[in-house]
Amino acid sequence: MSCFGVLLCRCNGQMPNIDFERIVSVLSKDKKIAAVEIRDRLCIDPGMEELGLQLKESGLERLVVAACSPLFCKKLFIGNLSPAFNPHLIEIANIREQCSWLVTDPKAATEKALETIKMSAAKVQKAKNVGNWDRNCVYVLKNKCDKCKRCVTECPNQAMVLDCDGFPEPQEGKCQLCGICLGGCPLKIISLPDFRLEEISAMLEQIDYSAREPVVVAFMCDRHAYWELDTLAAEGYRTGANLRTIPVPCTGAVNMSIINDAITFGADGVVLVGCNASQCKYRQGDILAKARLTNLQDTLQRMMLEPERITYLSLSENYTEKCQLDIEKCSGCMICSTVCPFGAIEAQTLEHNGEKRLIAVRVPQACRGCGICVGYCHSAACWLPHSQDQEILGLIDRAMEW
Amino acid sequence: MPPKVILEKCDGCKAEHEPLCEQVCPGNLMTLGENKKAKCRDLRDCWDCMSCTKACPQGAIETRLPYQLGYYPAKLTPLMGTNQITWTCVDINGKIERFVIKNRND
Repeated sequence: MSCFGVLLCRCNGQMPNIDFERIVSVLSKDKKIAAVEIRDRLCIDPGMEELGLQLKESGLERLVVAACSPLFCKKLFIGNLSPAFNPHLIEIANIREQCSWLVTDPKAATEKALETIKMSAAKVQKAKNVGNWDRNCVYVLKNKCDKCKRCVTECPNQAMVLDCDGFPEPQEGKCQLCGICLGGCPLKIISLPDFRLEEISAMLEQIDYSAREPVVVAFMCDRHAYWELDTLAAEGYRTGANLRTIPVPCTGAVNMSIINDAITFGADGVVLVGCNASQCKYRQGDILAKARLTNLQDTLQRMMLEPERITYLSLSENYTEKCQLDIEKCSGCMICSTVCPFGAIEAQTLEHNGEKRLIAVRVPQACRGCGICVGYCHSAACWLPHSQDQEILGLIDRAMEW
Repeated sequence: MPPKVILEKCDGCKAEHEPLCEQVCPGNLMTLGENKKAKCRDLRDCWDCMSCTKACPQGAIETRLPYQLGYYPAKLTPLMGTNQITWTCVDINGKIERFVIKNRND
């Protein structure tokens, strides 16, 4: 087994409830971990490339970076470390949003951070090039395939084509790496470059299920449910320490055997968190996931387990940031309602300050916070709470200062 | 006792000419019926190996225990993981036991 190292980031003291000394002491006792490095601010550390090369020289091949959400710095870290490490052998453990910010209790947050690092370590250890790291598509292990053609019928992009022997052959240009074929494969022989069932199973094995609180494993859609939870954590939302999140490319990519594994290992509940009906970017991932879950729920019932233990949850898109309308400033020109691609703005005649006039009113369910109306509004009545002009100008100023 | 196919769940593996249960059955007993759902061709020949129950991707096949082994409500249900099977065994008194068996070493 090739050895791996852990790179920790304190994030400039933004994780006050995590006991880094304990994490370092526990990790350095682990014989599989060759090196533990801790930095204060990894994202602006000028010596990161040299650090990567140093770690490489000491014989490391795989690396876990325990820092903020992959939403923020994943590309930066991978870019800085890529001269030394293969990008597929670097794994980001999200200990800032998912552990420190979501959990208030310091002891529980530290334990969760440790488990998150161990889960990422298990994933990075299992990472293996089955033949699709340099090709941007799924890989089918053909000598195990039994030509059931489930992947061909389920693929939303028609990227699976039968070759001359009748085996499915993924098309490189068409495959969008959603993993829906992987979720439906009964023989579990399809894998994505960074998402193999063995890796996820190894991740689930690392979770400590003996805790007194019921342990819930959440498979969250990488497209937005995972980010949504991160954003909520940044805005002050708190959960219990018993939630373990695993990002997946789409909820349709969750093979039922992974859920079976989680239940076998001792998870008390499994949730799939994805899009609302028909909002799935890959068009049918959520529908397939729900259908598969219903089948599994029946099996659970036969096994004398409660079917509610596995559920599908849907988060609507852009849950946090939506476009706002200022009634005082609105002149009633209705440009916003013509440019809105989702039909989220309607005209209404309202009585305001004693006079009756036409005012634009937002339909909250339809609004997706794209901000097109903000750009068109003449009277500055439309605005987005987290990207106002002043904020953007401030950011530009700060960028110019560097 | 032969396997029982839950017709609402069975999708005939999208009406392919050879569904998974047909491929795995060691006695070559499973086949697609006229309604494009799986069925057991010869009920008396089934020896309860439960291969089809484990292989079915929809979880649509149940194997009833023979009455000599355990009368109703006794049942045996497999749950397939990536490299293990969890068996749930319910005996005639309703006592539940679970076994985890590794089926692959990696």
